[in-house]
Amino acid sequence: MTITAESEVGRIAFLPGGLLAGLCADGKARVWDPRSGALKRTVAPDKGDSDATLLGASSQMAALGKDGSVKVWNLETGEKVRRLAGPEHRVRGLAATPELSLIAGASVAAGNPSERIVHVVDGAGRSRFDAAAGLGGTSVLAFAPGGSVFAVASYDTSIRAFNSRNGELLRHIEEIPVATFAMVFSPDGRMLATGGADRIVRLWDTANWSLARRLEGQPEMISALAWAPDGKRLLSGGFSELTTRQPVSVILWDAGTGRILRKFDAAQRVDSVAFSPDGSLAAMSCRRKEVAVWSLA
Amino acid sequence: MTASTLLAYWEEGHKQALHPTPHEVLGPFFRKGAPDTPNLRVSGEAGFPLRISGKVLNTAGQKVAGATVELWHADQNGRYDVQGYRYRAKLNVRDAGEYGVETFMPGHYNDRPAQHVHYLISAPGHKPLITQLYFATDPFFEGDPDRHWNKRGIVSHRALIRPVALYEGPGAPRAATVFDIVLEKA
Repeated sequence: MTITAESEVGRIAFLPGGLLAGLCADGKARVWDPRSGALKRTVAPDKGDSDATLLGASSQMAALGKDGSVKVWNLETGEKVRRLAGPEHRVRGLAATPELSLIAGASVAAGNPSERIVHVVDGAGRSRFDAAAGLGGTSVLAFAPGGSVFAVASYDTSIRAFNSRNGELLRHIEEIPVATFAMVFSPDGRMLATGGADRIVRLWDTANWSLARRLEGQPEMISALAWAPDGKRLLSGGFSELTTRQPVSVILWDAGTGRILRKFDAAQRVDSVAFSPDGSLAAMSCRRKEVAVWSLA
Repeated sequence: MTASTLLAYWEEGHKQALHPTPHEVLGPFFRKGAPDTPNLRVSGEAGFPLRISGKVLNTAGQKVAGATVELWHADQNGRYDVQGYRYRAKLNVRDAGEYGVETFMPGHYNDRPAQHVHYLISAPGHKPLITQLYFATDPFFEGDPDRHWNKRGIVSHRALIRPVALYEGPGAPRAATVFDIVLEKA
């Protein structure tokens, strides 16, 4: 089934009740019924807000206000529900735990525009830690479920995982030769899946930070990843290095064996993939005025 | 004002003679571990031969020893080699403070229509620098980079668009461009 949207759809996330939310190019979030395609509501951030991010697990959307505060909307009601202090620095690439107990963003280092610093603050805006995050820009920020671990990937190809409580560097992954574009912790937090320019999905065991598995078979670079709610399957979406408008594939993996279970087509670079809370649906957006929904039953 | 104070002023001014090279984004296609080779031309591959050379300097205009210059660019069709190291080099500049590569003119690609070469430069005692080199001859600048350098917001600084010399090479014309890099002290 294909959901049609008024505006091109970027990031998507399922809400616990089974509705699907998407961040659209016009700046608004839209919420659909993924089985009928019906639009349930539209939620608009304030003018000038940036870096909107979906917090699917808590049915919320967060965005950065011009003054650096973090604003939060309830996607079930469309109401703006909270306003938090946010990091003190001017950040880009907002990430947060579902309940906004921790918020992270990256800023340009003072004194060198080529370096990036990540800032992790608690819900009251108190700094947990600041840390060097590499050169040339951060590509993804991710919190583990529960928020105990925070990871940041840099375009310089490095990934750093921190203890979110005190900023202790748990692992500096330097063995990937190319940039990581997608990174997501498994629902139980035991694995970190990463994917990027070398077309390989890597699963890192967060107990000892060793490389547990490589999933190979995506024909393109990887721009999107999602874990199934049971942690047994993964979705990856492609990105052709020729142009963002080249057709690519979406792959459903068995995370335990690395086997490809299904393959779907995407019209162009995949922005986002997602599993429904019951694991029966997969959804994919690729900056078009539609969202693809596939039944996995 | 005494002659020695004047001299001190002059020396201070001279030390700040060069502006640091402007920063640009790294882009998504950096691949680490490129070979230290000055020849990036792939035999049998078509392209307009291009020589890029330059010095690595500090803001006082002195050559910086021990710098590493990583550069990478798309092939003639605008495609980056993300699986291997075509059109990628990691040059150890050593004590000479100069670098140079023989390559082909990069192609255009849809998402970033100005020809460019990516750089990542590091040197002991200096701030790392990420930048890009653009070409004044690029049709994207419509023959007038002074006027069109900021077209579509792609190039962040006019100074990164360098003149290109065309000359008769063996059998075919060739291009050469000079891109000096100025690093700030850490």
